[in-house]
Amino acid sequence: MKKIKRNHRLFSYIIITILGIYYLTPLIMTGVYAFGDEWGKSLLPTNFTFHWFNELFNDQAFFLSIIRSFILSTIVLVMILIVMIPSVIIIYLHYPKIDKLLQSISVLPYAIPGVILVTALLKTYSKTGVPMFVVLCGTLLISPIMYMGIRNSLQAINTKQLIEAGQMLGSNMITIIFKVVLPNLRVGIVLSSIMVFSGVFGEYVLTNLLIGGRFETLRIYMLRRMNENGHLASAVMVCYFVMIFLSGIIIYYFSNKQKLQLKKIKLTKKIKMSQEITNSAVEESPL
Amino acid sequence: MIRKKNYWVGLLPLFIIAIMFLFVPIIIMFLASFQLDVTNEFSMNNYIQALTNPYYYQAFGNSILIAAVSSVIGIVGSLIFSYALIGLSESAQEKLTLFSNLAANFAGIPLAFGFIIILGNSGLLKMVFPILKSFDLYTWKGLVLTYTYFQIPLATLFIYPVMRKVKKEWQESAEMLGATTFLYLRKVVFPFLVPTISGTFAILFANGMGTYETAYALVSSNVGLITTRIAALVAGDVYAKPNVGSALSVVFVVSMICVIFISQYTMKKLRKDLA
Amino acid sequence: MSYLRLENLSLSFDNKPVLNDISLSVKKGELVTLLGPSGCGKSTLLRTIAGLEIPEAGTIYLDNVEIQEKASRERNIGMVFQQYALFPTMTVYDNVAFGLNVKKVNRKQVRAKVEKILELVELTEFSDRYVPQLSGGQQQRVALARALVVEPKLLLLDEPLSALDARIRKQLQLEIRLIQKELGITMIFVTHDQEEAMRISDRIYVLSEGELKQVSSPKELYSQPKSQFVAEFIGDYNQIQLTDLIGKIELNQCNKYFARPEIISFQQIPDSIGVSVVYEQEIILGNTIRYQFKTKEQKLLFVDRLNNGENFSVETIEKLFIPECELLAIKDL
Repeated sequence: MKKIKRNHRLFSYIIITILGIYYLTPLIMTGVYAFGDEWGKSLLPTNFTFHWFNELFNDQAFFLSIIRSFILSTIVLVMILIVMIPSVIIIYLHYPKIDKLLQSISVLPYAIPGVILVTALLKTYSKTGVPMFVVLCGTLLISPIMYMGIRNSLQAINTKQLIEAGQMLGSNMITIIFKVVLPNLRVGIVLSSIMVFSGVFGEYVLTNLLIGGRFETLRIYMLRRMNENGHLASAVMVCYFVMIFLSGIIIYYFSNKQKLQLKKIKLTKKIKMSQEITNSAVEESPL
Repeated sequence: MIRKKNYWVGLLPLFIIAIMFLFVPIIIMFLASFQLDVTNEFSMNNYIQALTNPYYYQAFGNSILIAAVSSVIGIVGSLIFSYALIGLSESAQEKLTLFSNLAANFAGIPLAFGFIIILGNSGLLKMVFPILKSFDLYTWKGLVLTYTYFQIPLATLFIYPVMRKVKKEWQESAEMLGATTFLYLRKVVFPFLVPTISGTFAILFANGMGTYETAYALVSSNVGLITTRIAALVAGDVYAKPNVGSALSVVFVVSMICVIFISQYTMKKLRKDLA
Repeated sequence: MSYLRLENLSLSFDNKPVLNDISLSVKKGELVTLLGPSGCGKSTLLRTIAGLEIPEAGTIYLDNVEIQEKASRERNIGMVFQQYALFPTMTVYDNVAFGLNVKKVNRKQVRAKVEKILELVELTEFSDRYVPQLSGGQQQRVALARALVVEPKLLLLDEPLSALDARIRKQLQLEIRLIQKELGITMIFVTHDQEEAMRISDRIYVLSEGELKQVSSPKELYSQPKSQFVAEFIGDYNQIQLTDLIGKIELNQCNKYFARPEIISFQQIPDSIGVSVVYEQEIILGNTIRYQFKTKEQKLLFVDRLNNGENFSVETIEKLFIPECELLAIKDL
């Protein structure tokens, strides 16, 4: 296989380099713009400065927008967890047909994008007394990410067998779910939570069109600044990139944890009978 | 033990939310599309407006053009990228997949801004490479260039896992039977990928059609796109004609569903073994 | 006159030697097997002949032409893989016709050739089926047909039957041998199953850790192993300590002694070496009964007899007899 592999690897390096240039240039240039002072006729500025960042950090609106985004994301996340986790578990265990249906609903955001949803929502709720903030939160709750994330975790940890083992050992359903299933789901839930959180944090369409005027989130702030002062805007972008990068690392860390957890489960299945592991998982959790 | 019958109670919150914020609004929007804006009479006028007024159907055409071109580039780019990924070590593949997913997150304002900096009217790249000076970012071509940035990672999300299923023994067999790498890719790998490609194309196309933030940040209303037009109709101060917006939305959703069906149909034609 | 000749072939992976100065030759129309335990390098050797691995040193001659620099697709060598590697989106017909279509053979000829080869492997009715609809054995026959239809100079088979059930495996072993003889095609077969090798080969090359241990016909390989490794790998040789042997033995620098279980006698015979034993138990192997004994040095000794109803009063036996000419003496390090 060496010959074919060698050619392949060469191709890989070339392509990654080309694509790397395409993907990194806007990012790097945004960063340069954020630190740059004066420009001649060249790519790089003649002076570097923190001036723009200073201005940014002195702008109260900046911090307020971050706080607002944070509040929105947290509220939505908490509500999703409260509503989704039990729902997914119930559907997965008792309503396999709905489960199948909902899996195909993960294409919903593509058939009905934000703008269309906004149209429908405004038509429905604009004259009623329902505050738009509630409408926004409610809509963001319908998140395929959390559904698919939890569902796939449930499948990967062999929930049905865990429950059977627990029942054989004599405990009731609720105890099993709280003390066995949920702890094993923890990593999967954390992973999906991070993705939902960063998704809402970066949400623009729904937020802006429903309540944008009165509730400036980070993204809305970004757009405002972009039209006012390019340098400041790029400073904001840089901060935003850093946040995304950090959340990316956290996601990487947790998805590795999940992979390790799943590997452990698969490995021990090969060595012992599956019943034994589920028994030990049940025993380890305080029952 | 709770009897099976009562489990659906636990699903009530989800049902209620789905009904309140998804099903009911969509139905209301659908109904509203048949009502005139000011008088609320029932009429097909909104649809007539949507389909005959060049302000709207040109926007539709623009969106279709940009979505289609960026989807094709996205898929081709993703095929090349995925094939390149597979030639690397496992850990490199993991890290690059992560980066690819992150890149998809940059869509929207940061992306538009990044491109404005490098290729806008006084873009930095234009200073360094004068040949680029004639490139206008604020046209449909600029939008395609920008859209491709997130279309490729989105396509990779679907194409890469399926490409990994391609067995190296297929290539070895093809080699022994005299085929060049290119012939092997064309006759063995490509048919294998066809279902994924057609499904992914539908998703990319719908994504390209439905994207709002990037387009708005880049060209606001200068290049008419269906999403910005609908938004302006529905939430704008001056032009508020929400019912026409509703009609446009319905047309949008219906055409998206058509696209999905067409892609399924072509796939079945090309892969008779899956029929 | 050798059709395929390998001279001093060497190859390493990550600085670990996998093939160590290997030379071998195959005559035209022969079926030669590369036999050895997992990791001995037999698959790597086969793939090097195919051109899928590049050797660091050595030459390969096929029909008197040097081929080690040539790309796989130019070597005119066919290959059948362990996991069949059939193209998943094509019918049986298209799979088999693949190589011919690459060569741009005209459609009529393609049809004639494909139909003929499908008849040979008895898959004519399956011509329009898709791969997932076939059983393992059928898929392997398609792989065989696909490789044969382009009339390669040499056919390489890399453990083609290892993934199949025992019964199908035996059936296909015979079929492959028959096809090979009928077409007169030169074949190199790789397997770790010594019974399989014995059943179908003209000659067997035994490999261990990247080196050739012995090359012989099946019969010769079985009755005259030249090293301890081969003796232990082929058949169920008993290894006997020198101190257990009673009788006149020429030492000749040999230090290991082997005897096959089926030639050990319960009764005194002329010109034999004796071994003092105690009977332990009998094991039924199917058409063979294996009698287990223990020597004075506490080593196990097995004697095989055909399970044909003959009764041997083995419990009282105290001494076994090995014909002198059948006692294998090997000088091993």
